[in-house]
Amino acid sequence: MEDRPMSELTPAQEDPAIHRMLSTLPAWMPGPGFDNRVLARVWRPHPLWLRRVEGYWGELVETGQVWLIVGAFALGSLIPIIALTALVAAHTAEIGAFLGWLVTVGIPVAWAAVSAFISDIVSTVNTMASALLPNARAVMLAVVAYLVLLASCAWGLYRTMSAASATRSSLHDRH
Amino acid sequence: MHYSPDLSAATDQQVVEWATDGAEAAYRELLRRYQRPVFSLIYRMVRDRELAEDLTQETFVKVLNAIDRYRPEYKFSSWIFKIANNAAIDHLRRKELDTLSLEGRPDATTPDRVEATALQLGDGSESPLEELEAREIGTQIERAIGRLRPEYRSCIIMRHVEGRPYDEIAEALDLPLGTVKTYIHRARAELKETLAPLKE
Repeated sequence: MEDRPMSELTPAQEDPAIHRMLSTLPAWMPGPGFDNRVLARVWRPHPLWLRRVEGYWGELVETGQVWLIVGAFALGSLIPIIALTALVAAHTAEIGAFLGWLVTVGIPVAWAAVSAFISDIVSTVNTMASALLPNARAVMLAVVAYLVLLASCAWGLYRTMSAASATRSSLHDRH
Repeated sequence: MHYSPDLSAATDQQVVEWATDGAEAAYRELLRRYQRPVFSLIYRMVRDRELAEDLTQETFVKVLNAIDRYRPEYKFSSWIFKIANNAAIDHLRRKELDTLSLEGRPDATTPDRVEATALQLGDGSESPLEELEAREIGTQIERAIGRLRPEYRSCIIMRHVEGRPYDEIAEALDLPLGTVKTYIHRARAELKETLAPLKE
């Protein structure tokens, strides 16, 4: 037989008699639900990316750099407000005239254009539907009814799933 | 993210890596892999099913709560066996139960307690005669193991029941390699002596 060091032999090769006896011993298992009992007492870490963010934030708070960042953000958001205020203060007359024009002319003209566009689309669709189908109104009503039915089904499904999820959570909490 | 659906094919190191990322499936996989050997080791050391389950639970809670401090240069199995063995040895030292009866703990006074603390042998899959014979042989072997010093017992169980290599046993039990070899050698000699009638 090859002369190998003891540590390279398998347990069976080292002492066949003892190994034969000990390897017949049964393996024991803890009772059912053991893994759940363990996991109930184990704190699982947050995902890695979240821990990194927490780590950076903790470091910033610890070193006091967080105040520097908060200050820079506050200053950064103040600059455009100050600039806008200064701009308004310097051009009050022009801004007033522009707002006056907007209220009297601009908005009514824009509204007229938008409403004309919408009514144009509606009448085009209506004409096309009338040309294609002899009873377009009935078809449109059927489509609307179908959409309402679809929405009701979706709502019902959502409610059922929410109820199931709530039951699962309460069972888990109790466990 | 490095989540893999096939956890059972992953190495311990990979499963631990996923566990440190908070994946519950990875925790369950570690439990699935190690609950049997860890529980068997502790049960053979303390000879009380309830207590063994408590100590196994403590071992897993300790290991899984410290999973982010696990150092991958060591084997995960060595780490968990080390904690399991320490839990069992600490208990034995506290209770001075180095030598335990297979028929139940010495402090078991009621029949229920005797039954709960006795090792349950035989899985019932053999014929009644074979089962009786296997139970008798198993009882003799378990009794012989129970008579060994706790240090010898851990070493011999890890080597011949769990089939662990010497370096892993040394790492798990925090003993020099030479000491582990000596303990196993002595344990074998003691077992041979005790179990000699079985060979006849």
